[in-house]
Amino acid sequence: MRGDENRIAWMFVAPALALYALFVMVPLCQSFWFSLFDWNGYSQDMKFTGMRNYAALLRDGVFWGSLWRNIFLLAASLVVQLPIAIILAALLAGPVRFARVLRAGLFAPMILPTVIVALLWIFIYDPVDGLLNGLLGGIGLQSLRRGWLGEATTALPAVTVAVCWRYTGFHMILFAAGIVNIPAETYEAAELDGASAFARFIHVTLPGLYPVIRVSALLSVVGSMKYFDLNYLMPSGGAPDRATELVATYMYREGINADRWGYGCAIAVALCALTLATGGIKLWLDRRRSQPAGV
Amino acid sequence: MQNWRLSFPTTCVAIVMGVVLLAGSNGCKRKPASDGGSIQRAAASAKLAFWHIQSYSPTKEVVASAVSRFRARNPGVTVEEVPLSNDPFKQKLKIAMGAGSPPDVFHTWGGGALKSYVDAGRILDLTPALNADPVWRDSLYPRALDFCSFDGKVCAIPTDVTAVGLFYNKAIFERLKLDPPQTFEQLMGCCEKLKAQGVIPFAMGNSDKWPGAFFFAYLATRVGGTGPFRMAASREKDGSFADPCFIRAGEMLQRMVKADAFPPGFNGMNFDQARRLFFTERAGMILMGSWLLAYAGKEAPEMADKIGCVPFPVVENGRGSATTVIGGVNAGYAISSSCANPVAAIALLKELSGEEAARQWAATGRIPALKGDIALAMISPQSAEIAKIVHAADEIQLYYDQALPPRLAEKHKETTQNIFALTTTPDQAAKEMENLALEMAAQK
Amino acid sequence: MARPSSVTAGGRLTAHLLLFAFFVLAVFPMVWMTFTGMKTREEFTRSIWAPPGGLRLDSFRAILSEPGFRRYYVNNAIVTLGAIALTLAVSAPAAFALGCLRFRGEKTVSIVIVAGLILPVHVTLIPLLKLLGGIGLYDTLSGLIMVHAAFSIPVSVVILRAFFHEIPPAIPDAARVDGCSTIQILLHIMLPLARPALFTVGVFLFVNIWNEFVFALTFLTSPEKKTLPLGLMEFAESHGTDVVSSCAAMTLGAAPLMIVYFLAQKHIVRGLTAGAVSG
Repeated sequence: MRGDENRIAWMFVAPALALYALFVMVPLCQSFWFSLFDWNGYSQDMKFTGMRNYAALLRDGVFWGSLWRNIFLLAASLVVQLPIAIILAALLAGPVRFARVLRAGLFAPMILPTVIVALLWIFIYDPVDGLLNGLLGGIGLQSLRRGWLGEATTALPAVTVAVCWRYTGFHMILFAAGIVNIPAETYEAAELDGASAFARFIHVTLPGLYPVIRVSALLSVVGSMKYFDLNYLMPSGGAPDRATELVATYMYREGINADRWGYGCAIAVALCALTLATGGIKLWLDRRRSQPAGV
Repeated sequence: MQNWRLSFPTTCVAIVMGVVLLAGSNGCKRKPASDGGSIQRAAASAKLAFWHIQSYSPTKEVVASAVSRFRARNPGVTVEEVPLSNDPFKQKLKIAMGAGSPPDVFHTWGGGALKSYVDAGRILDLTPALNADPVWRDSLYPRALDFCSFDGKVCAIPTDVTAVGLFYNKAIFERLKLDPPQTFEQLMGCCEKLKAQGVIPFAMGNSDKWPGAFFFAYLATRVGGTGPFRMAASREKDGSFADPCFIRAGEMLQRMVKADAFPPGFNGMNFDQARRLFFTERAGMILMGSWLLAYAGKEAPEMADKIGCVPFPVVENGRGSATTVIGGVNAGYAISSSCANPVAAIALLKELSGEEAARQWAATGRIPALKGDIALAMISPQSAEIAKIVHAADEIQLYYDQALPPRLAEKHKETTQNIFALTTTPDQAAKEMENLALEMAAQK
Repeated sequence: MARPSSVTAGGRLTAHLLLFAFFVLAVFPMVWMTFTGMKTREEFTRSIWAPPGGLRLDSFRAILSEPGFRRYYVNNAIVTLGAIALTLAVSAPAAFALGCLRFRGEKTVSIVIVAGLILPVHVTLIPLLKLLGGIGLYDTLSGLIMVHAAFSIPVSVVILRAFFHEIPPAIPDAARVDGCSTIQILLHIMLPLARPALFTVGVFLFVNIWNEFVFALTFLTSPEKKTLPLGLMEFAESHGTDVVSSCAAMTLGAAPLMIVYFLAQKHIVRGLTAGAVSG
């Protein structure tokens, strides 16, 4: 019976595992293998260089700059997205008219394909006919008008705003679900003590949301490390000084556009190590959290 | 419930089977199959995948009509035409080469990018085909053919030459009583006057990096001639990308940036947005390849009589000739070495570079890559100015980014973009280029 | 939802104002896009802000009449539905085995699969390209479907496994006593019970794969195989100076999912969050 179950279980797991192995695990291992070569991807001649790509990576200022931008994106997510999302969720949980419509609208950017998000924000930031510059001109702030995506100083914040625009609604929904799970009695008790709405937010909602905040923060960490889409799409060819380059986009541009597949694979492996490390921390925290319940 | 129970597994199985079958049938192309396979194989090999970048009217139609003439003459061969736009094309081709399934016939600009495919053994040598058809060979423009030849082997057939010219809005210049600039100082003067009248001096969008590189290449060529670049690129005779002419070109660029010669935010604008400024007469000049005229014909036909073209200004004390133009092959076609049916592919190349196609090219405002007298006889009136500049040139300096191997080309575009953005000094940019060139030379 | 509420009138007003401001911020770009698509070119040049002069659908109609554009919808649907079907077909049995059966190597399998949750997809792009080229699946919809399905396995397995794990063992045990084989238990008892979880996974995958960009960009080239996001990008590129047409195309591109979203908001929101949280 035991052997039978073993056999059947493997039969059930096998198709998924085969597909997963073929298209995920094998390419992952190949990434590492290719990263040991100096190779442009289409030539017959692959020069084995051992760890030289990695040595070059450690000295590559663009790589470190990209990594720094990933951290900037993460910080923006933690400092901008999460607080706004918490506030919106808390407000929506209160006595608000049209709460459903508001929630639907706030979440809607999540439904758009990133290509559309990118094109929309390119129109918004257009230096000449853009909405943002038009708005600034309209309210008498001509001096602030600029080519948002084309200047090394503003390109990254500009793209980051678009990223926040897309994902804040998502975190808001997580928090809204978290608030529903806070026992009503806690609020009632606080209210009996005469706590104001603001005090209730600080002393009941925030502590009650702690587990959700942790989930959101971890999602932000993993998500920011591997982020690609909007930073790749806006601006189209890349901002000066690689101002919007992230590790993943650098891998793509360097590996494919600059004919350095071997080096691109080395960047990929480094990216993989970074995300697995952050993900490992998440798993470790999960395990710590679930242990008391399991024992 | 009942429905679900029955349908779910059935659907899944059906879909998995379907996918496997689809996958199998796609694989047939490469696997020598048994039985009926040979018929399928013959059918598959008589297919030509053809990638080009004429994805907009009117040049799209020129290619399409060449393809349809080819189809009429070669009924057994199907041509799978894939039009792509410029930058995605470069990337897609690299990807397809990497995936091992490049198109049979594809667009190329010649130069370094083509050479790296040639070095990798991916390109069919066309010299025998040309020698077998001397009439065809002798009709082609030798300078353009040079850009597509390596070690005496012709690796692509050029169909269209271009040059970068200084296009200006005649109406605006007349209204402001300006003459098109002949020297760099006059150019700066023009910029100042245009700006004072609320006109953007140059329409330029540099997010794709190549439009700015035109300025750099022209200035460097006017300052130092074509020698320094040639020597730096080939690493001969102490050639160096840190040559003073590149540094001086960078300094002049930054002078232009600081004088607001370009629209605000130009580093984040692309060519589409930039030419919109020129076509809507908000900008007075644009430094652009001759293809600008084809866009003008489609997007701003009312501008046709207002667009003038002059050679790029000379630089005081410059060593470069005043007639050298930056240019290259705007469209050439190569055949990949994995093409199963080279005879058909060569026939397609002949159709694309033949006289009928050339005539249609010329009608759209392009300059066909045929010998001078044939080409000039065909040229459309709107591009007569730029065509004369090309054929009067003592030398055509190939676009830097196309002359260099891809990695250096990327670096050149990146450092030039940084010069424009004032985030680097010309000196630093030159050093970065030279360091990479040294590193790459050391690896060889 | 009902919260005890002692909120001052001023507080209530501030709350509404804040929410409304963010609502406008979130929705305005999309409304602008739709309105711009309805404008004539002259109207757009005159003012980028003004609403269109009327409900003009000419630009939309022109785009939809292009067979190429309609093709993008079809391709997107094929890829999305194909990938979901393949994912569920392989993930459901695997999740069942991991959640309800005991076997040797269980732990290793689940660690390997869970690791896929955090793996950045871009890491494998270059070798995947080689692989697809090698097996003749480069530039095919079936190749793209398989890649999507493979990368969707971790999230599906994790959600479904949790669900199967929650089902009381008494249910399958009773069936076993009645003489059902393990396969029958999966097909006739567990899968029907797991419908809500399968639905959640399906919704999550639908939204993600429908909107996906990088895989499609890398693995497809032929125009007749392009997916919707790719097609939209191409459209915008080839209509560079024509903002009105681009906006109309973008509106049309966003429309199918937006309509589904407004009809089944709850399901979409739940599916997306459930999928992301377990990932």
